Amino acid sequence: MRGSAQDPFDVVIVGSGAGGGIAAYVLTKAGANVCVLEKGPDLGPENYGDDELRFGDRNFIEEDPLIEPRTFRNTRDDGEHLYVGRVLGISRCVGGGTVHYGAVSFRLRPEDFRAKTYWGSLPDAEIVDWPFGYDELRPYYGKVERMIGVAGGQLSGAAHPGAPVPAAEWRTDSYPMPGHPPNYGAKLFEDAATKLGMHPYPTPVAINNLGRDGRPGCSYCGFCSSHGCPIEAKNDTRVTALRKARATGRLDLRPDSYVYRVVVGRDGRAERVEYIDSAGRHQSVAGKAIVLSCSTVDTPRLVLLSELSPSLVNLDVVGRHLMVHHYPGGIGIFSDRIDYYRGFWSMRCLDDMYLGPRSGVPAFGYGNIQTVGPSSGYAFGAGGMISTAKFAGWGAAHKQAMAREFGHVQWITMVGQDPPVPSNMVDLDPTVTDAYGFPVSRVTYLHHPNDYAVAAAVAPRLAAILTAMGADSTEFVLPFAATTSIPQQGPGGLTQRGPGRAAPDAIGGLVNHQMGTMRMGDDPDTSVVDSDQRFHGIPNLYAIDGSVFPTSGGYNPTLTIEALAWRAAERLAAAQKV
Amino acid sequence: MRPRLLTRRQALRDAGRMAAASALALSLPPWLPRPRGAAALAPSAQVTLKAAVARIVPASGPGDWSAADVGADNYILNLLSNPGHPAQIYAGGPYRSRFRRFQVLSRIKRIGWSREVKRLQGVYSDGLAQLDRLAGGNFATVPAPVQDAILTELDDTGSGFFSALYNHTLEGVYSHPAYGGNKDYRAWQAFGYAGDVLGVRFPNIGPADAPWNVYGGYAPEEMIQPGPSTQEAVSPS
Repeated sequence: MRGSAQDPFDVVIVGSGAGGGIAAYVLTKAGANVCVLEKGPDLGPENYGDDELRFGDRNFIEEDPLIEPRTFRNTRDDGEHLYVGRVLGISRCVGGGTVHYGAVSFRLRPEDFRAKTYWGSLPDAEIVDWPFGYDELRPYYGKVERMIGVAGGQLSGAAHPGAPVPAAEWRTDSYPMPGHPPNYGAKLFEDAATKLGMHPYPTPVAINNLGRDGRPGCSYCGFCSSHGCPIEAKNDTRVTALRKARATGRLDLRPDSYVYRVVVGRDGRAERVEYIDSAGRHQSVAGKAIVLSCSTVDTPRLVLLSELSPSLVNLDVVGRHLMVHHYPGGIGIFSDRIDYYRGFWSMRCLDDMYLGPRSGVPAFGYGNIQTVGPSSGYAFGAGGMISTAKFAGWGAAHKQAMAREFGHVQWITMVGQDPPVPSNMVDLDPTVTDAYGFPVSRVTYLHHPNDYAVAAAVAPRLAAILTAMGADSTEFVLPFAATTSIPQQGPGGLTQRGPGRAAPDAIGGLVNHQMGTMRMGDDPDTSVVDSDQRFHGIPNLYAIDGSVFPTSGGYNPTLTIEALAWRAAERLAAAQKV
Repeated sequence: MRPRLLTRRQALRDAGRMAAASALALSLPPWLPRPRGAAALAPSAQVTLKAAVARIVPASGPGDWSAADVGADNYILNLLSNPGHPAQIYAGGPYRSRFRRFQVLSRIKRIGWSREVKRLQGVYSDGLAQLDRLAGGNFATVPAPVQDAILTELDDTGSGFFSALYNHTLEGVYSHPAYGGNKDYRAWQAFGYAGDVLGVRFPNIGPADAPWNVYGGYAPEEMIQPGPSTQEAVSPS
């Protein structure tokens, strides 16, 4: 077992993404000696490139099912699992999910922090208010936006006069960078939505608009979401938080370090973590405090692999309330070229349906509507050449389908809020193990009927926008869950989605958003961590990633994970005196 | 870096001609497979493979290309080569000029991909032998409608081999030529796809130090003005 000069470190962090990266930054700046263990490699521009195959089909940075597959089922009734492969992927490299992400960086709205108060209840779901409100997180949102660099987006008051979900009047500070120019599809979207009385605006993104922080601006090459940025214009935590943390001299970043156990001592305090290093050797590192930032799917897995005592951890709640968003979407097919592959993942969006219809049903589960595409590995309409081709069938009809679809489609989607349902969860698969020999994460997820009701309510609005954009025809994209390779059965036959004939079998797991599973709350009986993101029963063990979300909100989650991480790291530093 | 005298649009129009000149200058066609160690498949199986990929994406008529014409079978052979140390899994970076310097796999990636390549070798050996059997001896020599009927039968019955053949053929046709297919970027050109424009520099729109002029990519004016710019796909980097 390897020791080091600093061992025990002040803080050991498992994971280097949105949660772990920001926590490492805040803690090293505060003077702590920090060790970050990342199971993936430390990659940079020399490893990246505008290459759909590498990132989409061969999982270069994504969780590679050839190394660590995950399994999937809709419910317990399906047996052990229905599918083994790529499920709820997230980047496996230094920077974690912020490397693959489309860099969409929203703050949640004040209503999102009091979801139960605002929306009420749903059968079988456990909608709750967060233990604190927007005002608590507001300064941390601002700090993160300035440190990593966000361009965009929602501004207060005057920008959206008279809108139903008007203004972000709760925003008091401006963005560090102005919004980016639109690509063609986004311009059509902006014009059409405005004509229909809606209020589009530039999607806020952590992508440099011209230069910032010693790195260049975006050159709109298109290979952004699901790719690492070859020019470092996309602000992942590797080129922002971790680079600054390293400059303090107090960061020991260990890539290729696969943590498989958290060891808790007889005194009930977390002592150390055990991991396998790049050469396959078993290692251990101790910390005065230990932070789990492994992602919504892998943090509960690590807790379960560690076999912690139920007297210390609320195992009845660990892994439960998994949320992945539901994505009612529309694809417009245009006779003219749209060439959506120029630019980046989401360039324009709107919030006009975010707060719901206020009366009638459905009464929960709306979100931001945005233009999307491209992202390697995604289905046609938001993917690249290969993923479009894999949905185009074979034989003589193949080239006809390609000519009709490639470059002629625009996908718009709502990031719909899915309710926290206790039976949607992550646990350990009973039979499948990874390349290291440990049980893999099993995802059990079934969409709540409310998701379908929202989809039905949203579909006509999406079709209206696409038609006003000039689409010859529109198709409704039905909600999809943890993997596209699993047909999702919905009430009334609304949602048949799956591989179909000759569709790709390695393309599953298109959904990356993942929240819940280590619920944050004040009551130890109904949550895993407290409002400081500290385990209720273990005074020096923290969860700092998307797993703590009590509800999902209707926006892409990364900026909120980062703001929570900043706040939790400050509180950790104070409580642990590091 | 070339002088910034022309407008970018003019450069796009000229790019096709430049690309043709550039292609002639290459002594070794880059799409040819690099033989590594033992052949991934027996020579007869390679003939069957070529015939099969040509039916997944057939030519639409005389003068048109099929998956075999653009080297999708080469792509598959590259994938199947060197199972002990898979060597053509991840291209290099950051720009296309370095794609052919493939990355060395980490220990854990090598474990996963080595296992997968061995598995796929078995899938292809068995599957291609099955095609020959169903064709009464030699799949490559039976008429195209018979070949299609055989493949349809496998597709309809959920054949794992067919699934691999389908996915890999399309990957070979539409991935970057560094992986062995998409010869001369023909598949991208056919559908007006510019491909990887990062690292492909043209005279400028906007200031010379704008990111798209320094790094390649699209200027805002080009994002908002769609239309095929197929020349970019074959332009020199």
